[in-house]
Parts: sequence; structure tokens; C-alpha cells
Amino acid sequence: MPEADEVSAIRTRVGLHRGTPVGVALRGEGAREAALRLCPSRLFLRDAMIRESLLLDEAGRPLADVLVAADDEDYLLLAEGLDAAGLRAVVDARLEGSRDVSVEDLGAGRAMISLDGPWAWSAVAAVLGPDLVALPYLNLFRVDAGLCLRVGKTGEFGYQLLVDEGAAEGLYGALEDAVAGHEGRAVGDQARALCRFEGWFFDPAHIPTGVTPIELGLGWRLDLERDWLGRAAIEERLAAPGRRLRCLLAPRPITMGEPVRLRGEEVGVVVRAAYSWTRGEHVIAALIDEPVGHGGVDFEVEDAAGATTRARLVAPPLLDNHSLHVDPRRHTFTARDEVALGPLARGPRAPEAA
Amino acid sequence: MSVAIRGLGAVCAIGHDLPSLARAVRAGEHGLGPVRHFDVAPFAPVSLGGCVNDGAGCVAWAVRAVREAFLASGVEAAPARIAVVAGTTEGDDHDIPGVARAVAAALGARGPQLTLSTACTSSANAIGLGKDLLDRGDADVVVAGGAERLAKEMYAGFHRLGVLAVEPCRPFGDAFGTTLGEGAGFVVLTREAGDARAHLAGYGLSSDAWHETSPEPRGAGVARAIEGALRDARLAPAAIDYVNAHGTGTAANDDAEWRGVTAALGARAAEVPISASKSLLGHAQGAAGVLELIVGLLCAAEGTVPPTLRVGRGRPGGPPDPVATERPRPHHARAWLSSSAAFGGANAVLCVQAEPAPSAPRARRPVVIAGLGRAEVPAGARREDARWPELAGLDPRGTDPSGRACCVAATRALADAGLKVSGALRDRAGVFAGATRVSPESVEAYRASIERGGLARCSAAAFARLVLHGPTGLVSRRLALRGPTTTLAGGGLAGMLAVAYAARTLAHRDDADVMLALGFDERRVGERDGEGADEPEGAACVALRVGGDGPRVLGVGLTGPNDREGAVARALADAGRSRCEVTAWRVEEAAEHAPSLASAALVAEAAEAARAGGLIVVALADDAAACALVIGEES
Amino acid sequence: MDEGLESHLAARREALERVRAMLVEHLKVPLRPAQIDLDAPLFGTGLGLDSIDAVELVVAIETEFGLSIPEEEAQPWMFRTVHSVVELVVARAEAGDA
Repeated sequence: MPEADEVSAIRTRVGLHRGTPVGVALRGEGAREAALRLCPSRLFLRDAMIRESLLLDEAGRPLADVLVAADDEDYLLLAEGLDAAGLRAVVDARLEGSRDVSVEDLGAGRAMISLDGPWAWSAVAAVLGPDLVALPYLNLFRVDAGLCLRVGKTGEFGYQLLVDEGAAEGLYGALEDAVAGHEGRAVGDQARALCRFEGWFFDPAHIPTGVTPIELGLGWRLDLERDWLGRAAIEERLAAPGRRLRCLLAPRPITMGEPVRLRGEEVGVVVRAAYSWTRGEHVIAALIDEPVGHGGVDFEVEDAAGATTRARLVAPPLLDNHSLHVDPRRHTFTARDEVALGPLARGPRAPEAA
Repeated sequence: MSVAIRGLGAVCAIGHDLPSLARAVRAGEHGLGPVRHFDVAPFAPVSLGGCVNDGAGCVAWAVRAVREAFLASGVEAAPARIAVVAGTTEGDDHDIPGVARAVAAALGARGPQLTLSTACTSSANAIGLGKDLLDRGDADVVVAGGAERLAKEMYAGFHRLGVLAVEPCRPFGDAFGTTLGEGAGFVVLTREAGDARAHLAGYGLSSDAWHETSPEPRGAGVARAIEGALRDARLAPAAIDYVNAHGTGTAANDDAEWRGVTAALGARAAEVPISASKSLLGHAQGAAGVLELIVGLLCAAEGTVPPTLRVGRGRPGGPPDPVATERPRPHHARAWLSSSAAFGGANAVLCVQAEPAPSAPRARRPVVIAGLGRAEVPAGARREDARWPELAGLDPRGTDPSGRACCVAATRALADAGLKVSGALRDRAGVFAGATRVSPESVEAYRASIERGGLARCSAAAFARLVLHGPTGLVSRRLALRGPTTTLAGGGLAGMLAVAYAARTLAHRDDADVMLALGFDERRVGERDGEGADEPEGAACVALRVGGDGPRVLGVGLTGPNDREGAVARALADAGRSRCEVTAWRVEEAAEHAPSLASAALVAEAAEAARAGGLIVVALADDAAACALVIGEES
Repeated sequence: MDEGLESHLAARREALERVRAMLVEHLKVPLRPAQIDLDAPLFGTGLGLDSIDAVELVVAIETEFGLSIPEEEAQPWMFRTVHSVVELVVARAEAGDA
């Protein structure tokens, strides 16, 4: 299975990917004001710091998963969930009448090269220099080729290189060699999405209809000390009882849209399910009534074959990522056997099939 | 031009005087053993320190070190021409200026007594400032150094941050963690070469503007301080033959520092030895810079460089030559660096040369008071009622009232100046501050955390704010100002001294184009709405820049205790003006309440008045020093 | 709902409320408790805790829940989400640690 091999590369070595960035740079005196107008989160950013945020619609529903970075006087917004035209339309509409800010398309003429995995830092350093090893999570360094952002969304060391198209080809080739030297490989969108899912990172490609950050468990990305578009809807959701996105494990394939029951009573719905190669079982995202959505509870759900099976609600993280044990200050890839690693899968497993 | 290093004196873990220290260094002895002067049981298995173990405090050590250094130097000068510059984090019993006061008293020195408190760069910075005092003619002899006693509260904080090693520390080695130390060291500096041991060719300061306790991971701050020192010394990286590193042994420091050395020295970094004397002495914090300089000087006198003990197989990507020997190694260093770094993001680097380095003084640059900013809670008012809109973008987590007021005052001063600090200018924009005491709110938070959970469970977040330099570091992070930074401690005019030091930095050095100078004070806990509400609190900031419109700092005068008239005369002479040209005099007594704030505010008021024209003299004095500034238009 | 399930849920709801309160009070996380989702990540991103907070968090957990987490038992995944902390303290309580 190529997908399994690609997941394994991300989990144990390094996976290389090339894509097209979607984002805008906000420049000028009003850049911070503009970023605050667009994003509902706190933006206490030291220079070179990156934080996770969102773009919401007026009903408080996420339009995009956003990384906000402070780059000297500029604010950079990298978005997933919208294409370049869609992002630009939202940004232009929201910033209408804003003063002292210019908006530049970050994606145009640029490529995004990503490396993820416990040895990603070593491969990146081999090509772009040892300084990058020191780049802390959610920070960016400027490199000759462009920007290097340390922003993994898999639970592993993750680097995103935002570079000019012209430089991308040569850089990708050099990284390919370095990645091969670390026993890694190129990985596709599917494998990356799977790692992101089992790492329990928000993925805007899988937003259930009608939900807000509150149901998605992203309330921490909202700054309720100030006003922003969609705020009223969010306040309503916070006040009312509701469902929350929870992580379940099942022994058999589950179909999206299936009801989730507890002692026969319907308490939720499956919104995403996928087989985790790393765990050897099925990971489910379900919206579950908040009062019963706690760790260790076994729910009933119909499997793909039409039989009722049990699914256990568990606490993320599902993995004891190797990246938490590999220390760039201590370890080298050649001496990787010195790293004490336990099993990748951690915590309770899915119940036996009923 | 360089100044001569004439005499040395030291008290530390491996020697209670210079000869015994020299013997121990020669033998490759280290002094890292179980701490005996307080109970380390709460920190088990961590138990080590590089301790003096004689029952005395750091003031007593400082006095001993200074007497030794002064005697050895054989220099003579009138008492009023002998200045003292001391660095310490805490002094004895939190009396930060007490070290300089005692040293001056022991020598009978009547020149300026200055105190720097930037945690672990304090004494290196003190020696650099000592060179400035000689260059500017404030004194003929400067006694500079630092002292620190290893206090259990400090040990607890480092322990809580997880940076103390169980085994003796191994800088650049493959096991992480530092071992704290203590002691005092002083050097005697003069302009005349005399029978100098070596020459201080320059120094550099910088701010990481990155994090409370973690260094900028690329070592960009260390690199800027090295570049500043090289520029001050007018040396190229290729001239450097050795680096005496800060090298604490922690995971974060040694990696970042080596990267910074590499960034600043380029290919030269891998060609020269770099060693860490903390493997012998432990990390003596406020005294670390001077003690390590002294170890380097002792070795240089014998044609060697100090070893780094216990490097083992070293770190991946670490320095190729960390002098991983058991004893000093023969190596002739004509020019070398001693680097220090501190919590709060301050860096200080000294550049030493074996031979004097004559050079023509730099052309003096015009220093303009470009903007003023104040953030004050007046006497009788409540802190809660001061609503400062400038705080909107500041994460309040991990800040205290001192830090918040400084941020607001600094932001206002920059806005008032119409100054936009961005891009490359950030590296050339610095922050100096003067303060009376560490934030009482943070001190109380730390004390309360210890009372609640014991020493082993003290609050790391509160500990990180327990340095006088904390609010200064916050300003540099908040505004991304990465140029020179320091914090002066004093009882009467620290804020004004910060302005004076900043003005001179712009006028006579070339590592900054913009400087913010702050004075801040914070009311004592529990006195906020009672009696203590008589005290104002907050910060005042003066934004200085080279050139442009606005009143200028035309002259700076610095003299000894209570010598206001002397300071005024020197400032006027520095400005090339006469008394009869002065249109307004603000010669005042140091304020009883919030003196650091008041002294910076006094300068701000004079500058405000000077915007309307005229020539104004501001002067203040206390029991440690007197300072005067001449402010007005260029004639 | 049976009694076993009720008490299972009650223990977790209570632990969650206490962890949320601890984060707001001791670690000064600037959020309303309801914003601190069960699955919210604690460090780097998420609640924005950093290396200094990491040591504060362990102390706060030990103090709030009256248990001790020796360094050799502390695994990095234990402190990655609010949920993993809740499961940790509930498991310790059930094991009779508290």
C-alpha cells in the first residue's frame, strides 16, 4: 500500500510534499489592525511568531484554517480551506475601507514545500543549514530561498518552505536527496491528511455542516475580549448545550453520517472515519452530546457492513510521536538507534468487535 | 581606544584570592560540589554548586576582590577620580546597589558608583561601562566587576526551570544542564597602559527580543553583541584568536551561543578554540562575566587558554575545538572575546587584546530627544483606574505592573517621536532602563508560590520576572528592539542615568541609531490603596535618536556622590557651553518616592520645555552618583 | 443510564472542570472555561502554554489533585491535551493515588 508507506515515512522518518500555498501578506501601518479584523483569535505575536487562527463567516462557521505569522511589520496569513481567489474575495470584502494596509497574494508565483517526520529537521538542516534545527514550533526563520515556517500538523516535526517558483525546483531536488538519505520519501495529500486526522489536528476539508469552532473544539482560538464577524453566533453556541467533536476508535470500518448511540439512545453522529495504519484500527470523528462525550465511554455505532459495533471515546493524542523523543540537540540520524522509542500507538484501543 | 586592565581580584569556588585561583585553573581543578550553605534536599537529586563556602556574603567577597585588585594594580588617583561599576542580580539581601556602595567605601572612592543589574550579563556589562567612563573622562581609575551569592531562592528557580544538572555541568558536552556558582571579581581599569595585564579593546551589548528565559535559538543576539564588540574594538572577525564562552551547559544556551559565534565570526569560528570556564567555576550569574574574564586573563598571561572540562564526545554540530583538555592548553591569543548572556535576553561581550590598541576617537554624533512617553499612576490613584489603550496588543500573561508601564511609556515615546522602528533598524535600536527595585508584585508572586508548594515547587513564571532587567527585556520583546540593552539600579537617579548612558551610546559608539531610555518604579504590595498610595508608580521614557529635529542632549556630566555641581560643570564642559547661556535650571533633589521614574520624568519635562527653545540643565544626585544633562538646540 | 456509567462520567466531568479552573487560575490562560475544550492542545499552540508553563502545569496538577508525578513517569503525551490530563488525573484517582 503506497499510502501506508507514506504514512510510515511521516511517522518514523520524513515525508516530503510539494503544494501550492494559499495566503496573503498584510503590509503597512494598518497590517495588525487588518489581521485583527480578519481573524478572531488573540494575536500577541512577537516578531517571527506564528499562531493558529481561523476565518469565520457571519454565522461563526469556519471558512479556513489559518496560520498567522508576524514577519517584521507584516502579518502573513496562510489559509487552508479556501482557494486563492476565495481567500482574496473574503479578505478584500472584510478589509474594505481599511486604511494603511496593502494586501499581497502570497501564493502567486510561490511554492510550498513541506517536510514532516521525526527526522524532518535533519533533512531540512542538511539542505538549508544547521540554524533551522533551532527553529521552535510555530516560529519562522527567513532563509535565502524564502521563508521557513515550523508548523507541522501531524504531531511530528514539520517544516513548510514558502519559496519562489523559480527556486522551488532546485530546492525540491536537493530536499529529495536529503529525504532519501534519511530513508524518507515523497508523500501525497492523502497520507498527509490521514496523519493530520490521527494526530487530531483540525482539517478544514472535513468540517461538518453548520458547526462553529465551539463544536469543533477550537474555542481556544477565539478571543472573546473583542468583537469580530460571527461573534454573536459563537456566544449563542457557548450558552446552549450542544455536541462536541470527539475522537473514537472502532475495530471495523464505519461510514460517515452514521448515528452514534449510548445504551440505545442517539447521542451523536459520525462525521469522519478512516483507517489508521499506525494504530491498526479505525479512527472516528463524531459529534457527541457534550455531557456524555468523555474518555473511556463505549458507544454503539453501525459499521459499514450494517452490524452494530462498539466504538470507544479516547483522549488525543493517539500516538506517542517519535518527534517527542528525538532531540535535535542530542541525536543524529546516523546514530538513531540511540533514541529510546516506545510503540507509536498509545492509550486504550478500540473495543473488540461485538 | 583600548583601556588597560591593571589589577585583578577574585573570590570564587576554586580560589578565595587570585593566586589560589590561578593555581586551581593551572591544575584544571573545578569547584562543583554539594551546596552546604542551604538545604538542597528539596531539589534532589540536584545538589551541586560552585560555592565559596566561607560563610560570607557577596558584599564581603566584593570588598576582598576589590582590595586585592586595587593593591595589585598599584594605581593611584584622587578619590573623586575613582569610579566603581558593579554588576549583580540581587546583591546581599536584595540591596542591589549595596555592592558598589561597599566597594567604594572600602576604597574611599568618591567618583561615580554605578550598578548594573541584568542578571547574568551584569558584570560583563559593568566592565564595558567602566571603559566608557574612562573614555569620557568621568574618572581616571575605574574599578569594575560584579558579585553574586548563590541564594536558595535563585537555586530553586533554576531548578524549577529544569536547567540544573545532577552531575557537574558539561558545557558543549553531551549531557545538559548547568551548575550554579557564586563569588566576586573585579578589575582595575585605567587609560594609561602602565604595567597592564591586557587591554580591553571594546564591548558590545544586545537584546535577543525573543523570550524571558530562552535564548534566541540562532544566537542572533549573541552575534549582534559580538559584532558590537568587534566594531567598538575596530577588529575584524579574523583577528579573534579565542572565545571564552558563556557556555552554561544548558541545552538551549550552548547551541544558540555556538550558532551566534559562528554567525558573527564566520569561518573564523571553527578555526579558534572556544571554551567555557563554568566547567570550573559554576555559573556565578552576576559575577560570571568578570570571573570568566579573569580566568581567561590568568591563562593568557601564561600563554594558554582555559579548558572546558567534561566535554565528553561533545554535541552534534557543536564547536570543533572546545578545548576539551584537563588543564589549560598552550595557545597564544592576541585578541579574544568573553561572552555572557542572561535571562531577559540581554547579551554582553567583551573584547580583550594583549597589546594596547590606539585609535582615534570616533566623531561625536548628534543625539536628539525625539519623543517622550509617560505611563504613570499618580500618588493617591489606583492602578486599576489607569486604563492604557497601548496595552491592547500586549499579552498580559507573564507580565507585572513594572513591565506593563514600561511597554506603554516606550510605545508612547516612539509614537511621540514619529519613529517607526522596523526591518534592519531593529538591530540598531536599543533599550536602557533605570530602576529602584524588582517588581514587588512579581517578588510577592514568587514568595507566595514557595509558601504554597515549597522551594521545589516555586513558580517558574514568577522566577523569570525576578530580574531587575525583566521589564526592560519585555519592552525589547514587545517592540522587537534588538540593539544594546541594559538596566541600571539605583536609589535616586537610575532613570536619568539610563538616559545619560543611552545618549552616550548614540553619541560615541556606532552600534545603535535609536535608543529608548526608561525609568520605572512599582509600589510595594499591600500599599496600593493604603499609605503607599502616596507613592506614584509607572514609567517614563525618553526616545533618543541620532540626528533629526528636536532638542539635543548636548552634554552629559557624571560625578560622585552628591556632587551635583561637579556634574553640572562637567556636562556644560561636555556641551561646550557656559553657565550664562543656560535659560533654565532643573537642579533637584532625588525624589523620595519612585525615584527612578521621577528621574526619567524630570529629563522628559526638561526635554518638553526645551522644545520651545532655550538651554536647559537638568541635574540630580544621590549617595552614589550625580548626573547632569545639558539639553537644547545646537548653537 | 446505569450507575457505573454515571459515576464514570461524573468523575471525568469533575476532573475537567477542575483542570479548566486550574488553567485559568494558576496558569492565567485568558479564556472562559467553556472555551477550553476537552481536546484542546496545551502547548505551543492551543492554550499557548510554553516551556516555562510546562513546569508550572505539572506543579499545578500535583497541587490541585494532590498527587505526585515523578519525572521518570511523566511522558510527553500526558500533557498534550486537556483531555490527556483529565484521563491522567482520573486514572491516578482510580488507582488510589489521590
